[in-house]
Amino acid sequence: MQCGCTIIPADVLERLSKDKKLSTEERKNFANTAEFDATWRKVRALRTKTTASAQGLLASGAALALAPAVTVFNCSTTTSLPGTPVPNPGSAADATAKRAFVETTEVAKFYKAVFGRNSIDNQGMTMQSSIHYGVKYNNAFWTGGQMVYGDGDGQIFVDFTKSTDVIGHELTHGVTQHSSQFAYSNEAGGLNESMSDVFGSMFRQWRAGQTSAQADWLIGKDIMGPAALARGLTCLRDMANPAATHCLAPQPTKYSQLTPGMDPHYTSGPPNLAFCTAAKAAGGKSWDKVGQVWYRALTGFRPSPNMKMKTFAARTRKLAGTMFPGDTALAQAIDKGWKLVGL
Amino acid sequence: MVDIVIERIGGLGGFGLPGSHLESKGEVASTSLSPAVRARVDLLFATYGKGKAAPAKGADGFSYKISRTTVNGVEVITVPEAEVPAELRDSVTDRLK
Repeated sequence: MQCGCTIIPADVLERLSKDKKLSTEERKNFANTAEFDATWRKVRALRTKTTASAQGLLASGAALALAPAVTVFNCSTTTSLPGTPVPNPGSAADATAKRAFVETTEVAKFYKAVFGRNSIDNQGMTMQSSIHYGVKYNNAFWTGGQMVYGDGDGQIFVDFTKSTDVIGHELTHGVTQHSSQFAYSNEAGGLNESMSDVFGSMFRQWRAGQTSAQADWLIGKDIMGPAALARGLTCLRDMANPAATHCLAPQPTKYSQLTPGMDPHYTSGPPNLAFCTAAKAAGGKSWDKVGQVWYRALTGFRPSPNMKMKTFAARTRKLAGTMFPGDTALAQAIDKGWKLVGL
Repeated sequence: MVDIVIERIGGLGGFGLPGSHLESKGEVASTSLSPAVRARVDLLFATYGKGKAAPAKGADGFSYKISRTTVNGVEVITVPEAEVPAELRDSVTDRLK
């Protein structure tokens, strides 16, 4: 189904459906849109209500499945979602379909094995991906219910399924949506984006069996196209050095540099650097201890859409003590990370 | 005459952010648009021009900053990708700067 939801008021759509300056076909389209929009608004409201109810009712442990189903759809360069289903994507001839299936399945395994989480919603939710979205589309995104991947233009970017951290990033937006529900603006937005970079990067390290010291901490390294690489641009973001010149979109490194209204992909710089610094200071694998603290801070509390970075930092400091009592090295590592960015 | 300027911003890569090497812009003459699309553009300005916040729709999606010049001066709005007519959306070209 293509998302036809609009923010145009129903009365305006109705007025346009009767506007004599428009052709008969155009008026009919507006009338159809008005009818569809009314239905869509009801569906959306119901979906929101259902999600909230389900979270309450299923908190007892009920789950859709012990392990989530993973599905892949092909948009065939259209923007119609979800597209047509790809049968048996795990053995598909289309490398993108196969990669989306395999890596999404691995993300599910990562969350289960490392954090004990059953899929995006912790209740076995089906993990749905759409590939080949749009024409030379330079993006991947989370719709609120599924992942969507573009093919890239072949110059700045290549196929967005090629970076394992990108797949982990998009799925983690779903985890955030079904746990802390951080908003997508201001400080909460920066934390929302940071959670996706943090868990996306951890997933990439987990796949490679790397320690924090071995990891490159780059986001999107494997989707960089030849034109970007020729310019020395090797990643979207660098969690170890957010302001580095080899990043396509350098970020601030200090909390004091953030102001309200900034894009979440910009404001995620300080919390990204805090996590990376803490993980490297703690040593070992990023998901062993620091990742566990971040996961609990993200998922172990009631939803907090307007979370502040200072509050989140305090939460991780406190959790380090309760989850790993007596581990002063861990507490110091996390403290070092946050202090470096001014929190 | 070109009177509508479109800039794609945000996304996973951070198009158009401060210091970003990613840029995506396009231009359109409103006279080249069909009456239905022009009406839709008018509605976008009427809706988002009043400071109405864009509804949350997932994450990492693009937004579009749309500027148009009218007799009243230059108006600027920022709109989620799903709300932008294809004629405007497809006018942008991604490039490195």
